[in-house]
Amino acid sequence: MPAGRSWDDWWPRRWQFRYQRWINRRIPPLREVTLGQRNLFIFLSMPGLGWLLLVVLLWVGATNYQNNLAMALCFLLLSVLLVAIHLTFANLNGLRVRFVSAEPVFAGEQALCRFELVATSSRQQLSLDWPGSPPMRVSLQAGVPTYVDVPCAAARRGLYQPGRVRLQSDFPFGLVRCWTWLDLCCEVLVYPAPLTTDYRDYAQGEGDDSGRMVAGTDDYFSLRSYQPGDALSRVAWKQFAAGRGLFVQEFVDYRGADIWLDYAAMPEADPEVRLSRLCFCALQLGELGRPFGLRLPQQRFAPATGHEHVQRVLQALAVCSV
Amino acid sequence: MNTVQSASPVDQLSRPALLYFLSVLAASGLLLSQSLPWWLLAVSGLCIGWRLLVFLGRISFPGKWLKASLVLLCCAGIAFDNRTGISLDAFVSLLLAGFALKSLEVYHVSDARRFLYVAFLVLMAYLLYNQGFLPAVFALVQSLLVLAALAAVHADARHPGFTLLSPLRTASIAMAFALPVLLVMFLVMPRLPPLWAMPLQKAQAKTGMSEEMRPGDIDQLAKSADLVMRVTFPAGVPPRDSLYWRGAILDTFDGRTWRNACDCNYQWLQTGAMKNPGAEPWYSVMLEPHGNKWLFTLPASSPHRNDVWGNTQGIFRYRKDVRERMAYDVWAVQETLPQPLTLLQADRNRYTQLPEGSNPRARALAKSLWLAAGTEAAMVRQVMDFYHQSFGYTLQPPLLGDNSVDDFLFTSKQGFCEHFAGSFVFLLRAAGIPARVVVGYQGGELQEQGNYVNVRQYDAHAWAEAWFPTRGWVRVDPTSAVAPERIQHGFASLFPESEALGGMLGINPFRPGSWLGYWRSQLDYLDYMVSRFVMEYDSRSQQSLLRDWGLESPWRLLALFMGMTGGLFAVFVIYLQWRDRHARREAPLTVAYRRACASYARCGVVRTLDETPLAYANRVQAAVLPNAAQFVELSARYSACCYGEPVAKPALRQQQRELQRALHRHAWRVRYAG
Repeated sequence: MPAGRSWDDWWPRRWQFRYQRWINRRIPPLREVTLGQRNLFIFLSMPGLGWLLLVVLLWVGATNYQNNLAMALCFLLLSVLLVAIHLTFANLNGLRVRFVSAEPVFAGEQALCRFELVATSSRQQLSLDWPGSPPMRVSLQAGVPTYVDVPCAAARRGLYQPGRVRLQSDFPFGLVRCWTWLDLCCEVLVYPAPLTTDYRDYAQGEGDDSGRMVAGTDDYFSLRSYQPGDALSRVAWKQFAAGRGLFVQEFVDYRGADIWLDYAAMPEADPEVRLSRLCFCALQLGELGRPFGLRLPQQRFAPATGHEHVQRVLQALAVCSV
Repeated sequence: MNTVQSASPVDQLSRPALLYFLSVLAASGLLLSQSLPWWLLAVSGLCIGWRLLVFLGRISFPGKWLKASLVLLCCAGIAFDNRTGISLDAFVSLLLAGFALKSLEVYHVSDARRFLYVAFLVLMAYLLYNQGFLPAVFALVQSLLVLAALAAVHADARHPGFTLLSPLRTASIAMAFALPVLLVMFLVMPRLPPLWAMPLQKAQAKTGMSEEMRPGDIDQLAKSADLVMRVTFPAGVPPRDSLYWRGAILDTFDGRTWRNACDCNYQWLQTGAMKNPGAEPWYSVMLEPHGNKWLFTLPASSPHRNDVWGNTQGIFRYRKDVRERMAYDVWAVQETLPQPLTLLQADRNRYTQLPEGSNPRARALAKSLWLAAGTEAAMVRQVMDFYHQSFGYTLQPPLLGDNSVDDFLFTSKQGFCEHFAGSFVFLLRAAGIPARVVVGYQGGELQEQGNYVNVRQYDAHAWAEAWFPTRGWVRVDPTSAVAPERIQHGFASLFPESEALGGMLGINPFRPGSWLGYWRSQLDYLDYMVSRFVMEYDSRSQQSLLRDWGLESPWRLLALFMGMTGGLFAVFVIYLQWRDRHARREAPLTVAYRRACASYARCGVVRTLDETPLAYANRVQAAVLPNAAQFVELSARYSACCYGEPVAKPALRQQQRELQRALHRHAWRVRYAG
C-alpha cells in the first residue's frame, strides 16, 4: 500500500510537537492498555458523513411532501446513527491490548509485531495498523486471547520503535469510526540488510598457522599430478583434454581455522555498507558452520559457531554505533 | 489461543453480503411493483437472476456492450414513459433502474454501501406512494433488511462466529435501540412547511367518481372495494340511510350524459373565512387520494379550513387535487333557508334545462303525471310509485339506445342508481320542477371499534334533489323506491354473491362475519389508528401535545432537551465514577507514604520508580537526612503492611490507620521541623 503523504508533512512542526505532548499525556506509553473513554476517540467516518447527507435528503423530501412516514424514516436513520456511535464504542471499550514480541528482521523488510487482544465479550472487525502499512483485521471471541501480527516497515538497522499503533473499528455499519493510538513500547531488532559478498575477502587468519588445512571434500584447493589410486571422479578432465597431462583436483576442509571478521580492516568507506557486508558474512559463515569471530570498534566476539553466536553477532551489528 | 497471521484487507463483497444485497434489491422491486412500469420490474428480475447465476457460478458477468445497451434501453424506456414531464415516477424509475443495473457489476464494499443508501431513497419513494399501517410495517421490515445488508457488507465473513443470520441480529439490536429514539424525535422534532414545490406523481388510473355520469359509470365502481374514506363520528354514527356523502352536483343533461356544466355557476367561498362553527367537529374524514379536488360531506355540514372552498349548494372543493391521504374535520351547520325562498331565474333555467326533442315518451309521461299531481310533493310521490311498481335493480343493466331515458322507463325497466336518478330528474324537469342529480357515496361499513365508517368505491351512488317552493332543495332517492335494502343495509347486502363483483364480496373469505373478516377489521382498525395519529401528526398536533406536557414555548422545549441530555450525561459520568471508584482512588496509606517520600525529595533524594521502600529508606539514611532512622523504621512497617503476611482485616485496618498517621506526622516533621 503506498504510504502517500501523511499528515505529518502538512502540520506545522510546533503543532506536531504539541499533539505528541498531548497524546503522551492522554495515552501514556504502557506495556498493556485497557481501552476506555480515556483513550478512545470516536467520530463519523466518510460513509457516516454520507449517511448524514442521506438523512438531510430524506428530511427535505419528507418536509416538501409533508409525509410523516418518510419523516419517520429520516428520523430512523438518524437514530441508527446515534445508536451506531454507542455500538461502535462498545465494540472497543474494555478491550485489553498488549505487545507480545517481534521477531528480528533485516533492514528493508516488514517487521511483524505481535499483539495480544483479550476481551470479556466478543468483538468484531478490529483493525490494527501503523500508518502506511496494510491494516490487519481481526475479530475476537469472548475471553479468548487472540494474537495478531501487524506488519510495519523496518527501514533502518537498530532497535526500531515503530511508535504508536492505531487500533480502530467501524463495526457494525461503518458509519462511525472509533480509534485509538496506543504506545505499547513496541521494539523490533532490525539487523543490517545483508549485502552479498564473499567472506574470504574480509576474513583474516586464513593463512594463519592457527588454521589447519586437512584434505577433505568441502573446498576446491588446487591441482596436483595424478598418482595411481586416486579416484577417477577427482581427475581434472578439462586439463587432460587440453593435453596438459593428468591431474587430480585437491579439496580441503578447514578444520579449526578461526576466521576473524574485522570491521576496521574493511576497504569500504561507508560504515553502513561495512556492517551490511559483515552481516552477510556472518550469515554465510553461520550457514557453513565455521567458527568465526567479529571485531567491532567497541566490541569483539571470540570465534565460535552455532545459532546463538550468530544471533549475538547480528544483534551487535544491529545496535552497533559507528 | 487464537492467532491471526494473515487477515489481509479485502474490499471484495463477501458472498453472504451479496445475498443480502440482492434480497434488498428484490424487496425494493416488490415494494414499488404497483407504481413502476412492468418492463422495469422485468429488468430488475433479470438483473437479480443474472447476478444469482453468477453467484452460483453458472454464467459469467455480462459483457460491457450488453450492460451499456441495457442502460440505454432503460433510460429510453423511462424517458418514453415520462415524456409528458418530470414527475416522481420518473425519479423512482430511474432510482430502481440504476439500482438493478448496478447489481450486475457490484463487487466492492464501497459500491454496495452507496447502493444500499439508494435503497433508503427508494423506500422513501414507496412511502410517498403508500401510507397507512401496512406500508409502515413493510417499510420497517425493509429498513431492517437494508441495515442487515449494510452490516453484512461490513462484516468479516471469515470470522468463525459469523453466520448468515448474524448481520440480521446486529441490525435488529441497532433497530431495537433506535426505535425509542425515533419515537421521541418524531414527537418533538419541529416540523417545517414545504421548502419548495416538488414534482408530484401522476394521477394513478384508479376507479373513482368522475365529473360526468353516463349510464354504466357507477356500476363500474361497484366492482371495486377500494377504500374511499374513513369517517369518524365522535358522538356516534348516524343511521346509515341518512349517510349521503355529497360529492358533486350534475346539472346539465345532453340526452345521454349528466355533467357539471361549470363550477363558475356557483359562488365559492373559503370555508375558513366563514363564520366559525365553534364547538367540536361533527365528524372527521380521512380521504384516500382520488386525484380530484372533491371533498365528500354530509348535508348541512361544512369543513372549516382555509384551503377548502365551499359553495352555497353545500359542495366543497380542496385547493388542489387530492393526491395524498388527507384529513379534514367537518362541523354541523344550521341550514338557513334563504329568505324569501326563491330560485333565481338563471338557476331555474339551469335546473329545468333538457335537450330539445329527446325522449318524447318520457316528456309525455311527465306531463300526465304533473297534471294528476298538481304539487311538487305529489309529483315526486307519483314518480316514486311509478318506479316502485315495475322496476328492477340490477348491476348488469341492458344497453340503452339514443333516447336513453325512454328506453329505460318503458323498455328495459332494469337499472342501477344512475339510471333511476337520471330518469327521475328528467321526469321532474320535463314537468317544470327544478331538479338536479347529485353524485357521491351512500352509507358505508360501520366499524364497531372506534365509531367510524369505511366508505368504499362500491358505495358510489347517485340520487336526486328537487326544488320545493316551500322547503328549498329536498333530497329524493329514487333507488330507495326500487331497492330500499341498498340504502338501509348497503350494497354488499344487496348483492351478496354477485358475479359482477368478481366474487370479491360473495366468495371472499374476508366478508364480514368470517374469522378472516374479523382480522381484516382489526387490521383496518390498526390502519385507521396509525393514519389518525401518525399520518396526521403535524406541527399543530405537535404543539398541542407539547402544551399538554407543559411546554408552550420552544425555549422550554430547548431547556427540557438540554436538561435531559445534560442529566443523562451526568448520570452516565456518575455511573462511570462509581464503577471505577476503586481503580481511581489511591489508598490513604499510599498517599501518606508518597507525602513522606515527597518531603525527602525536597531534600534532594528522589525515589525512583523501581525502588522498593526499604531501598529508598536506606538511601535516605546514607544521605544523612533528618529523621532518617525513623523513616527506615516506618518504611519497614509500610512494606510489611502492604506486602507482608496477610493479617486479619480489623487488625490490618488498625495498623494501616496508625501507620498512616505516623507517616503524615513524619512528613510534616521532615518538611518544617527538620
